[in-house]
Amino acid sequence: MLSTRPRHWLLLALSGLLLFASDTRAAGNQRQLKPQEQKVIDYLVKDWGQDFSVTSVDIAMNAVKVQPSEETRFRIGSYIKVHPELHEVIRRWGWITLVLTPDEKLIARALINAERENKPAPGIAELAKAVTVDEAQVKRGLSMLERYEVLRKETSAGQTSYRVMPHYIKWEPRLDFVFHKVSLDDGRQFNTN
Amino acid sequence: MLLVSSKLANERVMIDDSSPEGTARIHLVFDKGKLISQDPASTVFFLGGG
Repeated sequence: MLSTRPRHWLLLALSGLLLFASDTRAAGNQRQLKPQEQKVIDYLVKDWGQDFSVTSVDIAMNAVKVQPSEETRFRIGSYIKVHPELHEVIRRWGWITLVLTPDEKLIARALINAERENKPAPGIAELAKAVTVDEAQVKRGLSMLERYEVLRKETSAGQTSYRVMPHYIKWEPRLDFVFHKVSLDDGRQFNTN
Repeated sequence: MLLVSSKLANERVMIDDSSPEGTARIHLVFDKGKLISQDPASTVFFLGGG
């Protein structure tokens, strides 16, 4: 009797620790959305699947007139990333398709193609030229791709470069990081697959 | 293309896309189901069919 009591306490302590750990993880994943962010999610869930729509967060933010903000877009994108149960479109096309802008997809593709072909990673100026945006836009794009863990920043001898996470290198070439943005005269915009 | 030639057949439709093997951007404009402009002009556009 006395010999089993410590085991019970140990089990109880371990159970408590496990519960605490799973609660902490859930809290990290279950981001609470602000009302404006929820409005964007509601718009997307209604829009996805109509007319083959795989509309992205940036387009939805514009449609519901949410103030453009990288932080807001990241919060909404992160919510979509951890909530595939929201819609079949997330499960079928993947969160990457829905949360990145065309510029970010092209920046990712430029880096991935270079890595696949064993070429040196293009620098900021080369990326700007390849994607036809300015260097500030490239830096913002790289930052977003790093936050989404598509890229990893590496610093060596004072030089910063970005490497693609191995997972994305293995994606099917020519089918990854695609976008097809449709704009109509009445102002409606959406992405298709 | 299915959309452009069916549900959106009476509309002006602009499509922003990219070359899948690179980072080149492609801009297409359709009016009433017909392709009226493409940039770059060298874009090879498959209209479907057998």
